Amino acid sequence: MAERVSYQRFPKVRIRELKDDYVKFELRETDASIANALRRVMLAEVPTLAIDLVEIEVNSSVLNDEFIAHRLGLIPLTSDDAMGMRFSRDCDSCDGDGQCDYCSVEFHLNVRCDSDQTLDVTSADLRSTSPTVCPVDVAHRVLASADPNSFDSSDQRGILIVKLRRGQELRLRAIARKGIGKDHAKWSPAATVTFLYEPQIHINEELMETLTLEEKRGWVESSPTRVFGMDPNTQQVVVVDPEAYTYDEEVIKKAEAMGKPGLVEIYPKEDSFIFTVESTGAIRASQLVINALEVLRQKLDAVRLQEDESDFGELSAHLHGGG
Amino acid sequence: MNAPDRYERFVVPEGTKKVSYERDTKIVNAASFTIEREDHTIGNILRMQLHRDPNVLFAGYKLPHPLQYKIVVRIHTTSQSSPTQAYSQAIEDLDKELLHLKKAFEHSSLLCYNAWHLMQAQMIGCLLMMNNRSSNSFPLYFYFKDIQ
Repeated sequence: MAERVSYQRFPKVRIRELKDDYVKFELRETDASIANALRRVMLAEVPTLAIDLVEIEVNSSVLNDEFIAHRLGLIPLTSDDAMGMRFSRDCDSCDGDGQCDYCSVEFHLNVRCDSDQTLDVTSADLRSTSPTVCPVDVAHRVLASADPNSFDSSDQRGILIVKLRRGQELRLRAIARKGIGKDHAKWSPAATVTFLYEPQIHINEELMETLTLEEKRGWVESSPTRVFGMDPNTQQVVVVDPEAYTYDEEVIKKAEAMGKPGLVEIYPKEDSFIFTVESTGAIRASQLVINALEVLRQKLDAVRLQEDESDFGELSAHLHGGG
Repeated sequence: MNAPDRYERFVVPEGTKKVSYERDTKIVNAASFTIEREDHTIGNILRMQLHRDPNVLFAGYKLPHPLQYKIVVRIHTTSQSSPTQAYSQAIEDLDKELLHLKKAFEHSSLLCYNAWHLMQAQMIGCLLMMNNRSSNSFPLYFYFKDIQ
């Protein structure tokens, strides 16, 4: 067997900011394909739990059954266990009707309005049969009561499902299942995932010195985002925030219009990315990244060639021949 | 309604192989791999990793049609290698890279998280001392969050 050389890379990670529902990090020494695969997996293939089956017993509210079922599906649920659960289509200990803990969690909702005041039915009225799975806003409220620094919990009322007037009632059984964003967006754990190429900015200082103060100011102002600034002491143009640059090339056009082409050179660093990830709260943002990497590895594992498929006959023929 | 089922996008139908391999009839060391139920996520990282292999003369992928949930990866190598070898090597290397990335991320997120917690524990400790009240919810809550 010929000696196999590895063309593996060893990417570097630096986390800039980490909150429960937000993470900003630098990813270096890899290429855009990895960055984009990571983004795509975070958006569409990291599993979470969401309500998928609703059996309505009584619904005398103003909204019809499917309207309510759709709204229930969109409520994010705490999904820390989702990676270890089964998809109900692969579950052999049940037929996916919520009778088994491996693939589903049952919820009950039973609300009736008996006062003259309008009654709000919210995610807080959902009763879960699992201690670890509940609507995220409910979980935050429990944590926030002990921790003033956690999520912003200014809204104490939960996620509104429907409003009831006197005599109206809503009674239902809902089953939450494991799923992925590719199936339906309600299973997506990511609110936003973005990455940008880190910009490399070179100012031609010699050429810059030929500009008058007024011209410098005009040039700095030509950028729609605040990338450049003026040093108040030396009156020199300085880079304030390279990441504010949106690759709009306005400053380059401005330099050309001023008759100073080559005043600044900006190019994206092809192997350096800045990610921002916002979670819906279903899983922590840092866990979302880790799960995405794990899911991507599982996907790669699934596309490996099986023993009987790889053409060893051809391979050995080449090695014995001229290889 | 005659819309195809949503799961058809990611569930490999029974009796279908996930990866099938077809050698080129005219060119030696060239082959196409058809991967069922995969898209640009896998196709593009595989292609870019194959480009890093100097024995690979050509590597490309296509999504033949948006409603056919499969990709075709075509590889042409030198006589020093073979398409199957290059393909397996690329997957191996990508897997190692992702494992490395996962460990690197876990390591740095743990550092961030611990620093944040230490700060918070100190803050709450101060609050408790100031109030001079015994409260069970703080220690319990920290225990709960730390073991997660």
